[in-house]
Amino acid sequence: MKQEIEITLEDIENEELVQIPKRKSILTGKYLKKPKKSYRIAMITDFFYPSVGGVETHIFQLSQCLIKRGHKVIVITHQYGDRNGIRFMTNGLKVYYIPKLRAPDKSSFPTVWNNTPILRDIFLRERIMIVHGHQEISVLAHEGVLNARELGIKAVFTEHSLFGFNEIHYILVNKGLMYSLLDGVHLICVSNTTKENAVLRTALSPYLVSVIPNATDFSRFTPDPTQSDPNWITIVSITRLMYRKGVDLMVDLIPIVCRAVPNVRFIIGGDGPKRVFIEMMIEKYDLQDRVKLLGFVKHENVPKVLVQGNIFLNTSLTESFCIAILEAVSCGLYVVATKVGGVPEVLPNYMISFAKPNPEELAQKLIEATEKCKDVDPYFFHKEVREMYDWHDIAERTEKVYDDMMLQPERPLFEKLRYHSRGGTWGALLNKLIFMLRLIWLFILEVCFPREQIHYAVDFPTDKFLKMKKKKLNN
Amino acid sequence: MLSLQNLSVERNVINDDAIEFKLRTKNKLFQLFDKIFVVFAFLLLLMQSIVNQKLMFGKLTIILIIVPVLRVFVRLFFVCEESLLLIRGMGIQLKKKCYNGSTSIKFLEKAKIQDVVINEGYYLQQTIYYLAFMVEGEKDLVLPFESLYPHLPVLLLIYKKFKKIIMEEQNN
Repeated sequence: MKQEIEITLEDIENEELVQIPKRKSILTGKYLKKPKKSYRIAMITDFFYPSVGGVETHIFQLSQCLIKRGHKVIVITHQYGDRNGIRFMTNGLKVYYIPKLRAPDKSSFPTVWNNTPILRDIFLRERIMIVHGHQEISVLAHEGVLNARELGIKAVFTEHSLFGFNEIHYILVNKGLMYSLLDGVHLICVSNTTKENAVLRTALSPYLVSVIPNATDFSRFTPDPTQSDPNWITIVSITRLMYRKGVDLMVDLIPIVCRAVPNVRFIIGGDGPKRVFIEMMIEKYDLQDRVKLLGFVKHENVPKVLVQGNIFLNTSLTESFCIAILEAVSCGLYVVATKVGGVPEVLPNYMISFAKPNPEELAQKLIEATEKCKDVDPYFFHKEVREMYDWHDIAERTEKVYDDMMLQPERPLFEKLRYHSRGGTWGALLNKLIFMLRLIWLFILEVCFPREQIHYAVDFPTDKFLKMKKKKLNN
Repeated sequence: MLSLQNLSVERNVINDDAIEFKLRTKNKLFQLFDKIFVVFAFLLLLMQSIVNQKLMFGKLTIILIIVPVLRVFVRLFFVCEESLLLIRGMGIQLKKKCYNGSTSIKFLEKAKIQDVVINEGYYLQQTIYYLAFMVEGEKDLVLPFESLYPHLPVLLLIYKKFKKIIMEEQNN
């Protein structure tokens, strides 16, 4: 029996299959009068799994906490080698790996209008309300935020690092950030120092910038006093061995400390271009039994290395919010660090001692710390730090930022042209021209891929999934 | 611009044990674009011949004829119909047909089919839902609909029928 049927949505609903969202006209240009309880958020950045680092873990943990609070989160990154397309992570976190050329420093190459079709398609089919970009070096985050603002979607940007003012690459980067934040994009900084730095760089009003700190997964970093050798006082340092992390300071201060205190030894984990200097120093001063170089330490082995020590040393020359310090204190170590950037805001005085970034002062503070670290109770440190920083607290504060954003009114597109009047006569003209060309490109896309014909994506059933997980745990 | 909109879906229920799903594009071989070019070429030819009093093919006329001919020639090798036949106890037959009439048929045995999956993926700056079979002998997933992409409701129907007929599960 031949049946030529046009299969429609009503047929499917009669057959009781998966719930597919109904078609409604999408008015993302309108603003909501009351903030909705559960938002649809897109985290967009260049830095995500499978590359490992501070920003990546921040995004992952924040997304997990937001999912548990009932929001829907997706992540958009560029492809990593073979890994492209759409993948799922824990609790239904959807990750889009977009085809985009990768630049040497793990970021990607900037383009003006190449990614607009893909990003527009993703934002419309997932009905995104808020776009959250991370990390200023990430080009994809800037592009995502700009495209979202042109489509009328709210945007938030998180800044994780500090930048200077004097050299040409800093000037260009600051201009880039200023351009992305033009259209009412809210900025979140990771510490008060970062906020000062960002406000000075981009000439923003400080009332439009929030400060929400980082945290770590404290359940993985637990103290274990049995692992550390009682005959030695062990100083641990796990960093990438490059100039920015103060390896030159380490090279100068290790001989001084080893000479002053006889039962001190060093464990240095991590790899990088400056590793050669440390090996040269070990050979010159004959400290093979006092200094141990571990090479690259995998992320899952870091707690095991930290727990072997009594003191943690951080010699960075610039740091916006040091997560390594939190991990060290959570394992029960006493911290000695250089007083730079946002480090003084992280921990109270009885857990950390500061020094200026020169080797003599650092060595002196280390020698004093060898006396103090005997009185340290590792479990007390762990408990204290656990109460100070918590991912659920951070998620709650981020949610408040989202609530504020959803109440902002949306200006008509032509008025947004006024935001581009910075940069002198010719700069302003160029900016406005590029903006108009991008709007024309959006119009062409609207004609070729109309909004009405983009079908919505099916959501991951997080409620049922979490309930199922709970049932399995209880049984 | 993909064939997401221009599909007609036909369900052919042979009996309780076999169902055929046919997807056909509504794009025709000779489109409006080609017809306009040919008409203009003809008019130009007419005008120039009348003016010069002999049959003359000018440069523009030649271009206006070559372009649609090339387009039609390339289109002959495009896929215009894809079909999927589910037979209980035997397996699946995939059939592709092009505009020039050439068909290619592929048969997958029931014993070798492990599972069916609906994935999301990219194709030319758009995200698409596609149906895929996991087959024992092949390295990659086998796609029944490679060039014509139906919407999710159609795929869900096929998914359900597959589970009923091939996998023989009673309750979903």
